[in-house]
Amino acid sequence: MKFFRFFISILLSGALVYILNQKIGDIPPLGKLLDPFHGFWQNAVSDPLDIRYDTSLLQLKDEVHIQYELNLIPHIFAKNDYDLYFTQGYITAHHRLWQMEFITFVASGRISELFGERALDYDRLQRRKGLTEATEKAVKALKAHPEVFRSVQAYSDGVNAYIDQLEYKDLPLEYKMFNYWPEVWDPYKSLLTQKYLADDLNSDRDLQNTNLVNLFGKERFDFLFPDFPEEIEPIIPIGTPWEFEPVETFSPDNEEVKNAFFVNIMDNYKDGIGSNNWAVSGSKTESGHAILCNDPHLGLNLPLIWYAQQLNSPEINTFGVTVPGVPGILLGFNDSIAWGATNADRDLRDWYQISFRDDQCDEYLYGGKWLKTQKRIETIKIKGQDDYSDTVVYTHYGPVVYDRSYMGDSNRVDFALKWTAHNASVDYMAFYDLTRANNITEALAASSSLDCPPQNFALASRSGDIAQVVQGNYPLKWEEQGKFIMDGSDPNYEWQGYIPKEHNARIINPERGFISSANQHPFDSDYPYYYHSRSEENFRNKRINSTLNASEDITIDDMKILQNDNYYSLAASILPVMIDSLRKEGLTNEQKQVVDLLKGWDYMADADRIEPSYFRAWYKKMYNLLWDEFEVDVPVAWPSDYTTMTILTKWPTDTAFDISETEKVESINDIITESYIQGIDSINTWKELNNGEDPLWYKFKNTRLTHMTGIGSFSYTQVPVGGYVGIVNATSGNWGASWRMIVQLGDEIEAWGIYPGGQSGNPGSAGYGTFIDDWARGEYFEILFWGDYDETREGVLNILLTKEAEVEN
Amino acid sequence: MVYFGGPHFGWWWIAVSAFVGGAVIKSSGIQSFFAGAFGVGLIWLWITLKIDIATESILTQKIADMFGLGQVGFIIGITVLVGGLVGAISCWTGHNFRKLFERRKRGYYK
Repeated sequence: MKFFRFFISILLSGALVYILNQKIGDIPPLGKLLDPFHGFWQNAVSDPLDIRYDTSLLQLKDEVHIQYELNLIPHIFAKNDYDLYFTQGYITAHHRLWQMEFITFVASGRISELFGERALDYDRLQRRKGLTEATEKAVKALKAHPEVFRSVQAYSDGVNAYIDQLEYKDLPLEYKMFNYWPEVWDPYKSLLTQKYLADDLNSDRDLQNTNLVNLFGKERFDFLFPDFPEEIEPIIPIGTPWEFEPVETFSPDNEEVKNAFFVNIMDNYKDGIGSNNWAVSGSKTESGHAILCNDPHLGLNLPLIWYAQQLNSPEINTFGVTVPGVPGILLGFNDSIAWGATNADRDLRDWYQISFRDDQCDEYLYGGKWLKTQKRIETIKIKGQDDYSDTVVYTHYGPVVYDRSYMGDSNRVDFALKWTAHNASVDYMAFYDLTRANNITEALAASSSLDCPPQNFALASRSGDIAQVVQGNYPLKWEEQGKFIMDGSDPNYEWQGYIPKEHNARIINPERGFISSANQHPFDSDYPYYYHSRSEENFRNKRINSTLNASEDITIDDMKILQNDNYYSLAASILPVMIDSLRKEGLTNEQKQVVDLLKGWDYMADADRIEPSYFRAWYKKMYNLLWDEFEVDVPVAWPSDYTTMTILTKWPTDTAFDISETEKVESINDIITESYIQGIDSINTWKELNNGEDPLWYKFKNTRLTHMTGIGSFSYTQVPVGGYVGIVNATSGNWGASWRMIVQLGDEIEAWGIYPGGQSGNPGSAGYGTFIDDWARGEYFEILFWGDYDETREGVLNILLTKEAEVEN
Repeated sequence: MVYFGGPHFGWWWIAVSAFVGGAVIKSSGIQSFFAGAFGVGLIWLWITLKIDIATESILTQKIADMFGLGQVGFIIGITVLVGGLVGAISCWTGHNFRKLFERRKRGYYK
């Protein structure tokens, strides 16, 4: 009996310990997680400067000084570059380890490992896009530049030195919650992170375009989706001469659009992606020195995508931000120059319809012959289940993303993706060289290493030069090539090489005294190569340009105001038309009052205004009624806000105003009036759901900073910030100014920066959201850019890393 | 044992400690059960309160929200409950272990 009782009790206690040590479904391992000695309790940090890592490290070659500001921004002073990048990796891992590793899981399709089968479709798509294979090529390509590669290796060594000393209690919270352990870092993962950026920033709508032409005809398609709409202000001002002989392109006769309807595509267009950058020359500034500004708009997640630091060695002295996982600085400045980037996307991804010989997919038709495919088995680990093996078929174009085993519908299957991100490029080297550039010429040369994702670089130097260059590897295409799905069996549809880098558009020290880019067209239609993009935004740039044109004696404060400018250009250009076209008879008193409110609006979309909420609600309903014919059960692209504005202001009798479902032929007045009533209704519904509160703009648009796993209590909602898509302060619901930087390049560099996050990636640290409030208010921290290490600096935490003495055996 | 060993071993240390406690100290089954519960529970309560107060609930609140509990007190309560339960059952197991030898001893002298 006693044996039995003992047996039962030990079984019970063993089972209890075992169960509480496991993650079951979505429930984390409770015993481990709740243990006050090791569990989540140990991740609670009220003083962000309570830094716990070893300061004696075997791999260092010399001693390294780190000076942390109170906001946790580190300044690293090393005596050689190996130690510099090693230390950057080491402390980035300390503050952001979970984030940096999670990004590589997202990029390479490994989310199922953590979250189970529900992430399988996502993971398969990531693998099928061919980024992992491309990263392997990129590692090889970078190894051909040993000096540059060494920095990536040093960074990896630093990350691993941190991982090696990790104890469970110091493990980032997310590892404890999802019950896993960080893996060894390597240069592959750093370059994978850069490919992740390409994946985030490149998009196409070839499949959607194909559907649209089939639905509405080519003429209507061209009218609604012009490559160059009217009244644009390109990055390179209209009339700038092209001083090169373009490479000839061959154009085949059979430019037929393929008759393919394709239903399931996951890769949807992200609205609001974009960025601003500009630089003004000393002739327009109060100080007489050039000022450079940059604010990239990216997904607003926490931990935020940027990490800020100064890197100082005998070779370089630079400050800026990088994505955790990528060594060096991506956006920033050094002693001599400053650089900023905006996305310069074009149609870099094309889809080829592949004709396989049979279901084995071993051969495909090309130029009348059968070519052999290659197959890559992608093994996807799934939490709590057997591994999933996905065979990805590679053609010479690239991987077959959609096929009979993945999202292929019964109509047409087998589409291969050709994408410049697949090429063996050395994009990292552009940023490595930029941190070392001494003048504009060197900076321009440095930026030319960037292939993908292409960027508009704004450059400024202490010697007073400013420049803008559209930098990237752009395919050479015939007119409209790749705008639609192409026939992969016909060699005529091949890309014809790439536009020579020296033909990429650029402008240096223009007469108007400034350069700027905000994801508008890079040039007008007179650029001698075919151009097509899906992501132009034609409002922000006009506001920036008109402001800069009208300004003299520009100060840093003026630039802060411009970066936070909330002027809603779309509203300014169409609201008068909307109010004119509205039938006022029959409106209720409440509805009439809102009209009066909107009539008196100065078009500022500030956080605490209500007019933008009413405008937005109205516009959204109007947009949906106007473009109701796009409500179809195949994926299509919808017209841009710019096109919507054009139709409203210039084509008031266009057929778009007719609602296709009704027999009546609606007019602009019908649409405007109906959508107005719907818009007011939606505001009233919002009010009911929000305890009768006023629809203040920031509450209505709800700018969110969401933890990368979506955990609500690690996230911020209704951040009190103004702006929106198409506004210079392009802060919408989940996209926005992810980093604002202003650099004045005088004898002493004066710089300011801010981002909506904090240097610590730990949700349990006071350093997790340090900058969010200031960011929302449009305030900045002064960037402290120091010379050499100085132990007398005040208000800093000094940490000395030393080389650990090797133990002699 | 729990207090001093806790930082150095995994969380399962509480089970080992309580087991040893139950095996070494003579008590009834019920006594050992509650001794284990209170022993581990009180120490865990002490540490969690200390951390929670020192960090002004910076993380406790977020974890409480994550589990949909709202109040910081609940997450402290659950922590103590889990620790207490493991302590109780382990201590009782230790007690039963002790009993095994008691019986054998008795048998030997009879």
